[in-house]
Amino acid sequence: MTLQGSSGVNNGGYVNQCAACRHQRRRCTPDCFFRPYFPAERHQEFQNFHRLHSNTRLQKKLKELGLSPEEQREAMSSIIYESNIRSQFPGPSVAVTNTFSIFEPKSHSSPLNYVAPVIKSPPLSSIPPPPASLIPPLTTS
Amino acid sequence: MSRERERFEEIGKKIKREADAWPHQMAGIRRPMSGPPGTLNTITPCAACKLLRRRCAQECPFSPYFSPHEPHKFASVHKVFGASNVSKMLMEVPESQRADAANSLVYEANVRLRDPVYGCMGAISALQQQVQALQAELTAVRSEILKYKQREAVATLIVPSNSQVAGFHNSGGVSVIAPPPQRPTTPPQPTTAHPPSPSSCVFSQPTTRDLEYGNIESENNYFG
Repeated sequence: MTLQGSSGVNNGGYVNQCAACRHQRRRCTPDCFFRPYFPAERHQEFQNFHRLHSNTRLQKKLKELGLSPEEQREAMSSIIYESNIRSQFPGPSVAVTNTFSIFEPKSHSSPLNYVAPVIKSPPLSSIPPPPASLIPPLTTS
Repeated sequence: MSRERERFEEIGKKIKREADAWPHQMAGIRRPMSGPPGTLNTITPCAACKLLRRRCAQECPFSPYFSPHEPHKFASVHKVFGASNVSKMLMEVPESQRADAANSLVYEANVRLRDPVYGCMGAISALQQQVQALQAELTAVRSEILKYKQREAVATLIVPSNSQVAGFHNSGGVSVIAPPPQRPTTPPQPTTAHPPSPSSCVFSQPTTRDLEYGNIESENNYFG
């Protein structure tokens, strides 16, 4: 991968860069993994995501899991959702943890030997609902 | 913030310098935390330094939150987020909330490992659905309670008129007051105050007493 600096000023490349490649100062190719999830106008969401996840690490993990494109989009959507919540509640992300200490959900059993801490949390209604379609449709453009 | 970062850089440098000389450690009781700054947790490193095979310093950012007795906690966090990201996140949080932040990171990592596609978001959706269902059930139960209260209010109108039949026709006004507290029929919920409207109806409209007498006669027919 050639750096943007070595190739001189490239306005076209800069305009078409996604938030992830702009952050890493790389040229954004059409088959960039993060382009569908972090276009240029979603710079803040990428910042939230990057606080806790690294790009290459996550990309490797998703490839190892062998997910289908649909499942991959759902996984990225949930990770972005969690990152945004954590940035909204910058403490210990009490909303996520405290929901499990209220009562155990039926479809997801809690891990063994885990005791949820007793935390004062914001009311459950303040948690934003999961986004129906956070991800723009996948296009090869 | 800059001080903490400088400390962390110093810790990193110390770890890198002393990485070559790694003593063979023995299991035993951990040293007290009141040691001077710069000393090492040479007896028992924390779970993070044990997993990453590093020398655990006294200022290790992980040692207060990842006990060596629970290595699986840090293992899951390291697998999902990475050690450097976790330490960076813990440094951003105020010190009083770091234990909670570490616990929430452990939980999120565990859920993410169990459900790689949806993670915590699936659990949150399930919980929100349960909350909606429970709220609907609560609304239904409350409306049913209101129905029972209305029935009880209607029943209290009939009971004192029954007591008038037994006697005390001369002192009708007094007999109306006495019977309700003496005969508290078991309501569906004990904490229910007597509604003021029936007593006010009886007292404010004396002409309706004739109507009540008529009702008494009809009730006698029903019981007979």
